[in-house]
Amino acid sequence: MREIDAILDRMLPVDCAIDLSGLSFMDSSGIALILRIYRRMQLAGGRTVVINPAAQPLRVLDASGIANLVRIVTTVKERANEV
Amino acid sequence: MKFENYLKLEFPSKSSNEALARSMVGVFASQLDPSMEELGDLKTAVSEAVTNAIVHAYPNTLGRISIRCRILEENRLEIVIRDWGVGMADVEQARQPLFTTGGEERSGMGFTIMESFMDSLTVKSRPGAGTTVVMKRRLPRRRVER
Ligand SMILES: Nc1ncnc2c1ncn2[C@@H]1O[C@H](COP(=O)(O)OP(=O)(O)OP(=O)(O)O)[C@@H](O)[C@H]1O
Ligand SMILES: [Mg+2]
Repeated sequence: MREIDAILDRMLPVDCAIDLSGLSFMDSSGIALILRIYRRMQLAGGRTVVINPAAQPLRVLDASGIANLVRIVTTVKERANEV
Repeated sequence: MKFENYLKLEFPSKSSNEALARSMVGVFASQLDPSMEELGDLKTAVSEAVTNAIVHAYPNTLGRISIRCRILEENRLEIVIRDWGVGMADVEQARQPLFTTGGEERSGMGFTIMESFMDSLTVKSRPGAGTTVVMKRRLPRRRVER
């Protein structure tokens, strides 16, 4: 958490994209992290997007309601690998 | 209650044992031939309950965690996760979405995720005595049996 804060403090991004394509398993610990980033970006008026979550992380994002807060983007290329 | 098979596990509340616990339950559940999605749901629910035992039940010590899995009639899997840690005074409140005593590191979504991924969730707890989480999920066999 502190590392994420430090990076956001240093970079002051306008928007933030969280690339989950390499993550095969996620639970509510990941939700806390994404919420943290989302709230910080909100304060600065920036957007947060989650990119290419695998099936299991996506179900957790949906179940937690986080999918209503941050946009989830799935690129065609990534999906092609799953088929 | 009649059962077809069971598994018992016990381990200390080291965070590295969370991945171990969810994999072991996943392997046990595989005999019911679950889909990838069902398997992911089970592992996620186990991960939530075990993480709770590790971080909340034994905040500053290492304690004992036990998992018992049973395959009941009609392809129902029962998973019982138990700790002998600090326990909870108000289980109803703890189960509310976003309720957490864990500060910013936690989202308070653990019980909500267990509930949505399992058919049933029962939580019994007493301060100072520990917590027992019982969850069940039916896994309809997809394999055609002749
Ligand atoms: N095994 C346990 N022993 C003692 N307290 C528990 C236990 N499990 C849960 N709790 C209490 O219930 C609260 C809610 O649990 P829940 O899993 O829903 O959220 P969390 O663990 O706080 O956050 P998250 O799971 O999203 O990381 C916890 O903050 C804690 O106070
Ligand atoms: Mg939790």
